[in-house]
Amino acid sequence: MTTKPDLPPGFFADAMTERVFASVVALAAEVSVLRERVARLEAAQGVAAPDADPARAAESFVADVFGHLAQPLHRI
Amino acid sequence: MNAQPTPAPVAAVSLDPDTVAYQRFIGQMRKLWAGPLYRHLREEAAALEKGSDFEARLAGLPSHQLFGWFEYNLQNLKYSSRRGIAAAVEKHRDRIEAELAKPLPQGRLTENPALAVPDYYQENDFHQHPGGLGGDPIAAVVYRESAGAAGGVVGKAGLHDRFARAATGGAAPKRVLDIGCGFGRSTLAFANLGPEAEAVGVDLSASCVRLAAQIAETRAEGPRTRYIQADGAAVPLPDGSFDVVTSTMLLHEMPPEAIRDLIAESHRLLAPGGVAVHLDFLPPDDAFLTALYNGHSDRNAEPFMRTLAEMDLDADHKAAGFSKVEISDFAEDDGPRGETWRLPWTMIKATK
Repeated sequence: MTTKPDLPPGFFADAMTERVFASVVALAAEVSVLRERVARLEAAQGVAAPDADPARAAESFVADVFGHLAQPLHRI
Repeated sequence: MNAQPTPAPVAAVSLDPDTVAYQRFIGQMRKLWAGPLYRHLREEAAALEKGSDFEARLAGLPSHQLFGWFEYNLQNLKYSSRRGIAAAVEKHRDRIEAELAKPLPQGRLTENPALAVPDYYQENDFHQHPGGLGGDPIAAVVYRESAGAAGGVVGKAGLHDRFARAATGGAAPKRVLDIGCGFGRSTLAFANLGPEAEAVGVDLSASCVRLAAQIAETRAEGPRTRYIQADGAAVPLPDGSFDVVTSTMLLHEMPPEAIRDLIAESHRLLAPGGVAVHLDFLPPDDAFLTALYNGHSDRNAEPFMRTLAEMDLDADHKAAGFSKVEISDFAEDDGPRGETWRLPWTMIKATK
């Protein structure tokens, strides 16, 4: 028995959804990284909000972008 | 009172700010997955009829497909992406290898380069650890860093101390054997039970026992621990050497025949009246949660979670000579239950 597949497993019913979702998550990850870079620059320049918190910022970013996945669509 | 400076961790890995940001994103995505996405899936699953094909019908739900995507891919990204833990640790390889090779007091570490590693151990990248824990000298550091990143369960604060206390009922055993000790958190937790407690950690991974032994050097209880590279089914120590034989998150990484060998070996190693006590995962009596348990087995490179759940651990322990077997839920923290997905922590305790 081995658990080393040549290709990652698919989860969605069609391959295109799989690819698009993977792209969206990869894009969001990069945006999240860039948001933190901006926050660090702002802090270095003394223009950051006094209560800036990277963990809270990442949490609200993920909730804003992906939170609707757990809700009916009309509540986006 | 002046605070003592905290010593630098053994084989410390400093992540660059972008990797920290990336791992933070993964961690927040995991919270979304374990919370709102899990609850949404549970609501939809409640409308499904229970029955023999429940798992297959659950798998047809789009919300389950999404849940599965998150579970597999977030773990994969955490470890293996461009900004994953494996790549971050790789940058420090030379220094880490040198730190893990530092001289240790006589007897602290026993390696066995000739150890015959079981096939199941070599063939699985357990929990998607790239390359497994066996071969790469820095694998243990990748494991440790991953355990502390993006919501990993092994890194849960206080988990090992909590289990050590629960496993022993507040008593302080003198001789403890910790099978599958990894990088030694569980071994140190048992050694911490009392000033007379001595703990031996064994693991198949040379990298893990090296890191465990080096970490022990930095801890007050460290001199009461030692580490051996060995198979838990064939520990090179005499009969009746221990009051407690334990493992933490090990059984679900082993096929049934290897677990039965470990049970028999633990019986041999225990003194009369000693206890074997394991912390692991078993599905509760709930079709939905069992389906997620089995799904985790499939999605997270944990093929033996399914077979562990099919074993009769009570009968297997009694067949090995144990007199009493107790299997109970284990609360890994004081948090509320039911609103987030969690692995079903279970304590298996058998008395010789």
